[in-house]
Amino acid sequence: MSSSRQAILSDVRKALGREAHSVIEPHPFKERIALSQAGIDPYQQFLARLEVTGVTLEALADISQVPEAVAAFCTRHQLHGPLAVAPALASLPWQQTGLQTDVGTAQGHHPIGVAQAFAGIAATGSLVMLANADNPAGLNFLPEYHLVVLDKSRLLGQLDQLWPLLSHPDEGTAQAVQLITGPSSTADIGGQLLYGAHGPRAVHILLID
Amino acid sequence: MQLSSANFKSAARAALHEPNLQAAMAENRNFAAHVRVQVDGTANFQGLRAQAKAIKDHTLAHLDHYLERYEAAAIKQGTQVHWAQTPEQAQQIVVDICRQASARSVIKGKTMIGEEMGINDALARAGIERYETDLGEYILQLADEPPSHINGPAIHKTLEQVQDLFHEHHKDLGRESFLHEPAELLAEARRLLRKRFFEAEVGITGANFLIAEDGSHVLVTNEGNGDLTSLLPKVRIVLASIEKVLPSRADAGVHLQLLALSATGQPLTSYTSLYGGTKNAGELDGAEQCHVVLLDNGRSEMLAGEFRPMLRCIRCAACMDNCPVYNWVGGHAYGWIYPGPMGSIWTPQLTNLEQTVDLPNACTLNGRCAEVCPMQIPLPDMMRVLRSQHWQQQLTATTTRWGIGLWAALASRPRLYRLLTAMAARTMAWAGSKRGRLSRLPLARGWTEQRDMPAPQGATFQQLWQQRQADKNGSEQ
Repeated sequence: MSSSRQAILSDVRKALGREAHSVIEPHPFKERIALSQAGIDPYQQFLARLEVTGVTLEALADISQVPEAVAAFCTRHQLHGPLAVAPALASLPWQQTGLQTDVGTAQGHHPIGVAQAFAGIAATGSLVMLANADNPAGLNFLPEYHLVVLDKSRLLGQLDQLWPLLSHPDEGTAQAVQLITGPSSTADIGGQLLYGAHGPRAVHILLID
Repeated sequence: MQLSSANFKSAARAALHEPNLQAAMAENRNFAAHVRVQVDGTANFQGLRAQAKAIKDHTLAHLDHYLERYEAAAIKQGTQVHWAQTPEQAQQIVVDICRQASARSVIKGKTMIGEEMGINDALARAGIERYETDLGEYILQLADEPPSHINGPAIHKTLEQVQDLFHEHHKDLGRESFLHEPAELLAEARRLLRKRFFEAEVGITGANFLIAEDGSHVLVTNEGNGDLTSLLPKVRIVLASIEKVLPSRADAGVHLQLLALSATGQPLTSYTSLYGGTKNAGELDGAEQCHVVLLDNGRSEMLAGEFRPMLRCIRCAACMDNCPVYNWVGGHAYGWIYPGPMGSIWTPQLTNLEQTVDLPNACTLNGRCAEVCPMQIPLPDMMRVLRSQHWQQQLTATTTRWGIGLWAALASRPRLYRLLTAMAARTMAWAGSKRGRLSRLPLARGWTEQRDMPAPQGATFQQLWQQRQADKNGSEQ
């Protein structure tokens, strides 16, 4: 409805007392404030935040150890059924583990989704996931267990450090940027905090040191 | 939703005597106290707050510019942007998109703009099945009730009430045993709704922010239902309003941290997602069509006047969670979709002044809402503006009008005022001379039912003041 568009923009301009396309004052800030704690090692802060949000982490020396660690996770949690694995991680030695892997996005029947994080944010304890062909977003939401590979060198101190990285031309376009800060949770049933509302009941980070 | 704010007084009175509601509101007060501890323990919260306000003030002062920039960037990403001046126009846009998609069912995330535009009724009239996916909204869909809180729509429901609702409505689906455990109830809802996610042709969500820089919209949830609603159906509809735009992702970052902290005490919610248009070639997940509906519904008018600061609102609900009125009467008493302090300003602006007179008058002006508001919205000041509008438009209740008139007549006659107050003070002192307290006062039964009035002792304030001035002058000489 282009007439509504014109009417709304004209009402807005009338309210602001200006003509169309007037001069815009510059944005008031160059730097943005972000939650952080001075003098704390980002990695220690990240671990402390994960304690609060209920996300677990295990450190691995090399990315090639991921399949083995995923297999051990499945054994620990008695999980059966095929793994949904992000195309970004398809080249890892999955065959050695004997696990059945489906490369692509997750479907309803996958208990586990294995995905790769773009970055981590220490101050908030968040994982940054880019939804694209290499990392389908369904992996982050459909399985009950979300396993995320994060390179330690990609751990950022604050949220504000993320935005310039996303604008970098090498990153291409992502359909979505998803910041994940804990398992899926709800307090809608009698005010009790429960995990696994619609998305994963558990998030486990495989940190590549 | 039908506006029933004119019944505020009777609804509030009933709410105070509803045991389930009182239990649920006690729970909310505990939760609010927990959130405040998290906020107060955040070192740079005040800095974040000041910056967020300045960013939003700048954006509102150039709203036309940022809306146009948002639109251009969104179109570039493959999003279709629709503009709606009224709720009716917005409903029509959504129903038309659903029809074009031959939608039999839609899945829906929590959207207060959706409530504002009455989208649920519009979909029902169009014969389109709707499944609410936010667990709170799902509970309310079963109960056929509107939300009572802007973040926790079903906070007024106790666990026992949810058990009963699930039992009654899931019977047809073959369940026989009565589920007690919250985790069992959740698992059942998850299983039932999972099917709906895969079936629906259209997914409808709200948007917490729109970003002018890249044309994306931000979605904040803890359940992840908003993301599944955005990703699984072929057609995505996003319901937003014009004041949700922010210049850049960095600006959204400031507001997102403030929102999560103020709403739930989290540094960020479990899922904070920026969606930019449709799925790209080679992608496995995502919508093929992305539509954003921008609703005005009186906001451009608010921009011009004294209510512009209300447009800074990021819907964190801190004002209601810390309000001594909301936290006892609950959200339904307010009679429209936005309850509590923010609702007492929003509702008159988006509906009308005549039927909402009770809302700003239910406020005690204790100032707590303005203190906790992360966007520093002067809510009590705006309540006063509304009260004076009532006076000017002769909407103030007759007894109040009469009382204020009487007081004005007295206050402008100092001698008479002094005489009468001195008499009243002496009478009250005499009546309460035995106990030093008064347990009953004429015209103030509601007040004395809960507590005693201390009986006046000695001189009146004015006498004391005169004495003090005289002493001061004496000592100066």
